[in-house]
Amino acid sequence: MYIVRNLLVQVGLSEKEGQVTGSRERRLMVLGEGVYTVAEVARILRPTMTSRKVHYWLKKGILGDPVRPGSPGRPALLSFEQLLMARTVQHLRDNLQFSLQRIAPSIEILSSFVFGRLFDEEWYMLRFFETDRGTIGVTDGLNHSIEVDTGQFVMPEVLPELEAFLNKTRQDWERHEVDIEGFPHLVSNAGIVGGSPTIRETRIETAFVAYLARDLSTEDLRNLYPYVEKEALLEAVRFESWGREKFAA
Amino acid sequence: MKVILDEQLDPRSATVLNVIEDRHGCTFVSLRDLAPPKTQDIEIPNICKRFDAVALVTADVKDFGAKAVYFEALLTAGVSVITLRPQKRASVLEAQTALLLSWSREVANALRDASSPVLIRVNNSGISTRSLEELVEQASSSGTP
Repeated sequence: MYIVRNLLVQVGLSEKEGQVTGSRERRLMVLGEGVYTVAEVARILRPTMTSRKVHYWLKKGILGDPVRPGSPGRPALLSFEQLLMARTVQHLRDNLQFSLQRIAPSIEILSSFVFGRLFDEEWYMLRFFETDRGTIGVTDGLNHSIEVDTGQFVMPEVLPELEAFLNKTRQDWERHEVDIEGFPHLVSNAGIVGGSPTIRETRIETAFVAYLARDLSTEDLRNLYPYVEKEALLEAVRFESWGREKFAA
Repeated sequence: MKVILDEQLDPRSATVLNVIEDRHGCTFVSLRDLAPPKTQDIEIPNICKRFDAVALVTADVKDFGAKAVYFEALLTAGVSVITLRPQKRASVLEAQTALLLSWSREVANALRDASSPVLIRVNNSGISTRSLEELVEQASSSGTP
């Protein structure tokens, strides 16, 4: 599905009637879909994600082709699906504890199988299982399955957790929104301000709140956004100053 | 000519700007008065159409990197975009309103003169206007606009 969508976007066609009209040039994004730089993907998927990892997975082809390849002075752009892919690869990698020799080939095989089903119009309930040979298998319930050798012993309780993670990823894909770990009031919604991190249930960007907080008190911010919880505003500022923590609650 | 202020901008700015409506000829209205919070980007063109608005004023305080592409998508959907970017350290809300107030005639003229949706960037030095075609051309030739 994501490949089809990327193709549509690259040739300037829209899945949504009436959204792209009257121009012959190539379109990178249809209104309602998010686009992300590599740095923004890393920031949204903090604290374990880094730009370096995303670049590496892009280079290996695990995340598919970027919406726009990077070039000097022009960052590579990724889709919302690719943001979810990066998060999934990270999760599989962390939880299946691959041996160093097995990581790259196993992740490539696993992600190819999983992504083909995770982002399809039809939902496949993916199940993980352990084989007699000690490898890990994934099945889509339609007699399609693959096996990968992690090169390590995998704790049995990890497998249902992975299934739950994939279910959650599917839900995130359907609602076009990811939570930002450690910041319960913040999200990136692909359909809001192009995916820029915002306060949940609003169009208020974390970057804008942090910008205002340089000159406004917390009370001023609350007056400006009376329908937003104080903690959400503080989280926005903390998220933007992550690593500096200069804003005292 | 109606112009919508995005949810995150201070709705009081609309009130202030409308006091001198006869000078610039625009009626400013906050998105908060037109739609519930969390309005989806895809709903913006229809809201503009329903309320006869031609542009959305939004913040552009940080190089999100992908923002230019987002603005392009709004223009493609038929909505002009006005971004406010005060110089560093002039970041209070009053400064943002003052920015729009200072250049309201120029912004209104640019909107009136445009034959198709445009991106209007406003900063302390003035305004710059780009059509969709110019944005796409700029983005494909060098860095982001």
